[in-house]
Amino acid sequence: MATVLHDERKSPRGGPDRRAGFARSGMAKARRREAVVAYAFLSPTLAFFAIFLILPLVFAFVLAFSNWGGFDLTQIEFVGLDNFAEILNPASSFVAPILVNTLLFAFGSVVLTFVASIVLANAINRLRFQGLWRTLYFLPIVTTVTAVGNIWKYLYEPSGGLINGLLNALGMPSVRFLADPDTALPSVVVVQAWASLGVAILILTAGLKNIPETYYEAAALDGAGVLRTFWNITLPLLRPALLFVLITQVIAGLQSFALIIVMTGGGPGNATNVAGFEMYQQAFNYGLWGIASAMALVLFLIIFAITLLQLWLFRQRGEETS
Amino acid sequence: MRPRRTPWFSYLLVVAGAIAMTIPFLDMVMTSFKGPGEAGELPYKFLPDRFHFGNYLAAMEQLNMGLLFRNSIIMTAVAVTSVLVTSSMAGYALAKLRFPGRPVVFRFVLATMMFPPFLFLIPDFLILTNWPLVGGNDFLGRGGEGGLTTSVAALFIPFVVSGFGIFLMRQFIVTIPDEMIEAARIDGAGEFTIWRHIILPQTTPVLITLGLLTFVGTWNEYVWSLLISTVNPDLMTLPVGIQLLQSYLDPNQTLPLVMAGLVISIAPVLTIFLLMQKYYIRGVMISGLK
Amino acid sequence: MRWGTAGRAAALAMAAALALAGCSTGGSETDSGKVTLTVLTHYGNDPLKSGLQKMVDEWNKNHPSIQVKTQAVTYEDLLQTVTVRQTGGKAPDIIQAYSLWGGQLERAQVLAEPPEDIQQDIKTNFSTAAVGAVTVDDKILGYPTEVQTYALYYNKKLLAEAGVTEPPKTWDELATVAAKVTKRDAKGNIKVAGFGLTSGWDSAVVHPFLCLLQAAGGQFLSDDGTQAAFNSPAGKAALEFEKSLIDAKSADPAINVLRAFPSEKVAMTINAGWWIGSLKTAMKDKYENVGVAPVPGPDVGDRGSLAYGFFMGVNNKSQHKDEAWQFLEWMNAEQGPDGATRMGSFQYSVGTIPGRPADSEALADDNTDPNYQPFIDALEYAMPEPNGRNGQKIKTTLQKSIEDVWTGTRSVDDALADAAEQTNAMLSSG
Repeated sequence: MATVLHDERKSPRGGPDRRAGFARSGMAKARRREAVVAYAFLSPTLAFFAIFLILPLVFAFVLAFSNWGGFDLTQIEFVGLDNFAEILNPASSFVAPILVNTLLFAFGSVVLTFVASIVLANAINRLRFQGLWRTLYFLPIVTTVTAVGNIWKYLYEPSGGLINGLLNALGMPSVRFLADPDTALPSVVVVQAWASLGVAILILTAGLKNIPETYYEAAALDGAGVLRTFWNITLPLLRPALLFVLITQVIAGLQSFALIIVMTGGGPGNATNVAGFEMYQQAFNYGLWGIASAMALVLFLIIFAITLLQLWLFRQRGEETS
Repeated sequence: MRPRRTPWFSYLLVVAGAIAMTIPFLDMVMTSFKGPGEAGELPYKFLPDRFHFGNYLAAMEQLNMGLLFRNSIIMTAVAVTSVLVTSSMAGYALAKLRFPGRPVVFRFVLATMMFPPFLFLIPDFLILTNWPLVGGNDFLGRGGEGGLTTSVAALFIPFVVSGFGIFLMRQFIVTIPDEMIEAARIDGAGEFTIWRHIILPQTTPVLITLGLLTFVGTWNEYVWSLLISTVNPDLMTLPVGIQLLQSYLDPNQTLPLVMAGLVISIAPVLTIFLLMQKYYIRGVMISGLK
Repeated sequence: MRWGTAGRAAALAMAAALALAGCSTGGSETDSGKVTLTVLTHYGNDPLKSGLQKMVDEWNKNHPSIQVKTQAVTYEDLLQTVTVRQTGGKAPDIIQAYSLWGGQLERAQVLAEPPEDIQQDIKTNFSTAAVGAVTVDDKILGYPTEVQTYALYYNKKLLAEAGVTEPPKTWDELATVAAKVTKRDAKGNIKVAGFGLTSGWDSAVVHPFLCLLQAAGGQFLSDDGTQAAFNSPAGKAALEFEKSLIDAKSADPAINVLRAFPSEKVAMTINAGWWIGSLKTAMKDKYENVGVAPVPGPDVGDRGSLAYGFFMGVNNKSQHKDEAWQFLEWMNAEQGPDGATRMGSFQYSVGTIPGRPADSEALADDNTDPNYQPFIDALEYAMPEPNGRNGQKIKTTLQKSIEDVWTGTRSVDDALADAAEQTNAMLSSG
């Protein structure tokens, strides 16, 4: 990804204007050496994925087209596209509301986290005792999800919870946050956003620290105010970190369900049921591994498509991301 | 010089946020001091009626702390080291080295994050059980007493490489100016040297971040550790041991005990986090190229 | 076939390869004549853990050639652990399972068939509810260890404050009492709820409904077990009754009944026998306010309850089935020093009803809490939790339907019809 001052195309290596010409054969050899080194650097990673990713994925792929109860490998039974037909059937609950909930859950929490983390990471960066603030924002990451879920359940409680206490004090009636199918999902989205803030802030902080002081000094000399500095210096230089946060949080959001188990169990009805949870239930509780794997594949395709879209969108703005 | 006025608005935001962040954690700590039955009470009580320090003693007594810490430390230390090394190397390759198939490999790395964990449980377990030439297995991995699943390696093997880590390092290494790397190459440095002497120092804050996140993730990992510990109880890690403190018959009674165990488990993590804060200094560019 | 011969061959080869790979032995070892059995349970914490260990230690002392090792996980992790380890080939010799999983386990042939004499013992000497819990398709899966039934818990003090001295005996009485006892604050928030309905977790939602269903004369499945029968008039009446309590604002599923009842914020609720121990700890001396009565039906004299349980069976893949059955028989059938079987004694000591009525009789004394009596009575009439094919999936489907009725998302007729339709489909599929 190109930084503001530095244009990759002008670098001595591999720029199109340098390609043609007398250095061609040397170029090719250097290229090959670079490729060999690159794959050498990648070899532990690729070896690991070959064993611990590819094999399980083949297994999952086979299962998606089979029936399997989960206890005995010899009982895998081929059924072709039946599983997909069943889950993509409009009558089943997978597409709606489960997938819909999944998308809402992920995007809702990511938008909240994204905005809040940018603001907060910057705010912390300008204060003293940064280590302390960062540690406090880190706490939700180390707090067990049971504790987080329980506390928020108390906060949301209709008779005696803090939030309803405030609403009542302001003259409004209590809202049955987690029990009302219309408010249950948004309520959980808020908690998910809250829980994801710490990681986002950490990464954006690292990104902010990456920006040399000299830029800010130059901007200050030019008389730029806080917002202009932020818009013209900070944001562009933060792009790779921002893209990272966005992509990883969306991926995580689309798969996450630990909070939902603790807070609502997927209910009421299917109001807070998301794909990750449903898949787990289908596999372990119902013993329907074929359906679970088919759901996993569908979800994977959705996640992959969304991620490619994000990469492409960021590329559109003239940034090379791949 | 940056403006020296106190950023009041920032303080307001950060402090308000910090309070919200801290409350569940404080609730956890307060619960760890509550007596039996207090944890489930309504209306909600933040403070215990008196501080039952005995919960901590009971937790330490009931848990084999030495064993649990040993296993957790080994699992986490190996995972963190391995992730840092593999991620920075792979990240460098993806960010700065040109090779055929780079976009494909990059997207592949991203794709590794897109699969639900439950899909990996059985296959990973099978792979480790049938690992050739270990634990009594023959060359084809059959016949033995559980292959790798009974050794401590089973705890960390699935976690030694992380797509998340590779992606993170790649995003940050991309911002390192090419000129810096070029200069080193012209001076005759090999890629490995460049990695060690340019990439690693330049990415210290993000390496620390990745290290911390991996540390927390592995330290608190539950599902896989549970599985391994049922095959070999000597491999039980902290989260698994602590969860077993939870009574099936009477959860509210044992909740304070579990919370005490969790607080004990978190203490090292938080300490390390605090100690690592000094590495979050603004990066200073050596050669003034920027 | 859709896949064509090549595709099928490839996939079968893959499955075979994986199966061969997974063919390692079960979890036990033989070492110079000594057999070691592994037992997996959810008894990871005291008093269950030490209670089980005591029995195991006694056996180990007297049987040097058959040694037993226990392994425990939390209840939430039990099914997952059994699944992965069974597939991975490192499965324990003896598995403890929840009755609802019976259908799944049976379909995958995880459990070995008990020897004939053990089956006879179980059929003859265990309570109806216990036998129902361990039977799937007329096959017995193992020894029942815990049995739970449901009844109506009520708070005598809260009822007395509203002028009620006896627990309700019909639905109408229950509705009236609930309305009288409910207290609300100025904002309309419920301060004390007359009746407790819990949502968010399948047993909490489905089991009380099934109790009411039975009390109204209904049943869950048809007699031949092939069709859903809970959408009968009895079922509709039961669900409408629950909804009426919500509409009358005597009940609110948003309230966490498991915490509110011990805090005396809920006056009545339907729950299982294991809760007694929990209430004693949570309420301490206020526990004397707690009473238990059978779950009433529409008319006087109607009662309903649901029974479920846990059982211990032998793994079909175990290399030491005979030894495993020996151990189980010793623990579950042989009379111990106190006149009851060791398992019965152990369960009784932690407040769970033993599977054998003879054990309950031998162990009962003047100190037995009278609150246990309705649960013991229910053993003979309680509906066993359906544990056939797709039992868990059917239960969750029903749970969601019930919750939809509670929140007003669907009508009683629609919700039950939909659940019945899905249940029928699941009963006929493999």
